[in-house]
Amino acid sequence: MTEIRARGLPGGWGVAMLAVLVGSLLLGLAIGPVSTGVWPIASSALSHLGLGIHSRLGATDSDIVWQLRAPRVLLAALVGGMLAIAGSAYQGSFRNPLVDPYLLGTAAGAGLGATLAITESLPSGLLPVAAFVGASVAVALAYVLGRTVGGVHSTATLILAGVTVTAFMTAVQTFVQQRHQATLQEVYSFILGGFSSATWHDVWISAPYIGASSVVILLHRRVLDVLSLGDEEASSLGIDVRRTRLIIVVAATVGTAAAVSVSGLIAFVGIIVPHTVRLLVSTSYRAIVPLALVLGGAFLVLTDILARTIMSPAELPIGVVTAFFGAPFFAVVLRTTRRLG
Amino acid sequence: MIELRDVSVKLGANRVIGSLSASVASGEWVGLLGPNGAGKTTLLRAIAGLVRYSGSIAVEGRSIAGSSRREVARMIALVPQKPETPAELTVAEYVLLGRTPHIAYLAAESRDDRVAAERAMRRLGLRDFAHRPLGSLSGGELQRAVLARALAQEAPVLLLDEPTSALDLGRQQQALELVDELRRDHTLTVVSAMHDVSLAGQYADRLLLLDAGEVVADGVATDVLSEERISALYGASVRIVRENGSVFVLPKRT
Repeated sequence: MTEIRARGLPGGWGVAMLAVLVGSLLLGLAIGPVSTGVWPIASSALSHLGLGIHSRLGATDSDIVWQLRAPRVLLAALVGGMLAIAGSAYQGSFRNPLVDPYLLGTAAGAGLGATLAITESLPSGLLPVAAFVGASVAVALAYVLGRTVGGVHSTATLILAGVTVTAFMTAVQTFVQQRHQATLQEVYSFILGGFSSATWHDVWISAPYIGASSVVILLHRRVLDVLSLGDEEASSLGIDVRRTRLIIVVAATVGTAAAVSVSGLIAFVGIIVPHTVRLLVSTSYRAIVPLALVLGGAFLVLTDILARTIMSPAELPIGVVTAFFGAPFFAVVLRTTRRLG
Repeated sequence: MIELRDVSVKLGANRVIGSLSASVASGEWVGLLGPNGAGKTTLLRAIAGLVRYSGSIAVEGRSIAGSSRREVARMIALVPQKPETPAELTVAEYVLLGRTPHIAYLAAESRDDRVAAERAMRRLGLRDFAHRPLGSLSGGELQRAVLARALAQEAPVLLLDEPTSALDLGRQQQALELVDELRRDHTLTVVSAMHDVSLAGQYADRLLLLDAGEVVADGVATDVLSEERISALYGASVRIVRENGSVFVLPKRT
């Protein structure tokens, strides 16, 4: 007799997606104007880990790989993982399959905060804080607006509220940006998003926020399944719904703000990745949350590779690439969601 | 045992329950009757601690308002009229969610929880359905899955809001028989809001008739169900048939 259990995270899928992540990281390290090949990089990575393996990468190549490409690839993985896990957290806590950090206005709010930090010449350490404040204001606005108009569980209403907030935040952001000609270039390249100027510093300042936020969301994966029963039933099962939702949304917002502050505005990752996991693996948040983190990382690393190789030596803004794939995907998700009622 | 004293509930500006006092003995089944809007659902929600109320509600001597959400959930299982049943969730996963009050906030379920969920599924004849998604179940099967989730909660009080409203005549009787069996086997105290007056009279030990948030009659079916009272309460024209200690309320066109 088989024991009763929740499907949880199927081990096979976990391993497969981790393999995809590792593969895309190696690919990201190997691909560029200077060709190095994957195996020398793998050997160099293992030697860095102190496994007693001799690196077969030359000194110049080693600098290119570890000082230029590595921070870029790692930052893309961190940001992609964060946007995807935040998307799944918003979707679960608002019980709405179409919300993501971008559509809720979170990213636009973070962008406005970051823009103000740049134009007002705040110390660079305060940029994530400013991004977080902007992001929080945006989420709160979208939530309150959505609730007063038609309830947050109504897919359409919350999306429209998010779109409204995004439009407003973007307008203010553009206004601020145009008023400060001196920082125009800096702000513009920040908003377009991307990893072309990624440094180890970016990795170190965003990693703690992204790590902490991801851990909080991961710990709530079973609770997110309880929330799928609706506020009333989750309450009757002993969950303090308001407090729980607040914790999850704050965590997702902190992480999103950190991601936006080092990468700019990158849309659709929070929709594409969790839904791919839903379609492929399971609709339980026990599977969606951890797999979105891993697959989101891989997705953005691969997208970044595309962004810097398609028109090489010129680079496409990565937000353009994710939107190119994301918009049609969103349309498909919208259709299936509508059909399910 | 459930003790309600001077319970009032306001939803917005409306007083939905007004100064209601009643008690339900341990192991007793009380049926709540009354027209739409009489306050049946609100009363159940108040007992489950889901709406603010004034007055006092206590289960086994413990105040609901003074208990945490988790403590209430260990005392009271609530089956809403239209439970949320995510189509892709399997029966096993759904029933396991009923263990939530026994699982630490951020923990996964333990072996004990899985055993309890399995016991509940077996009790409701759902063991072979464990890995079926909820979306593939019939109305009657779904109803049993919902009851299994409530049973897995292992709370001494079971609140049912219109438990048979989505079922056909035969399924209604089966569901109520099942509730009665569960009540006896697990010594549950049951309070159920019901539409069907005759069925309520046959299954519940005692009936509480509500009108505009107040108790207008409280007693066994044979005492409280009369033509005058039913027509006054529901604005319906009915005929009452008494047979072998049961009361049947038949709608009659005038």
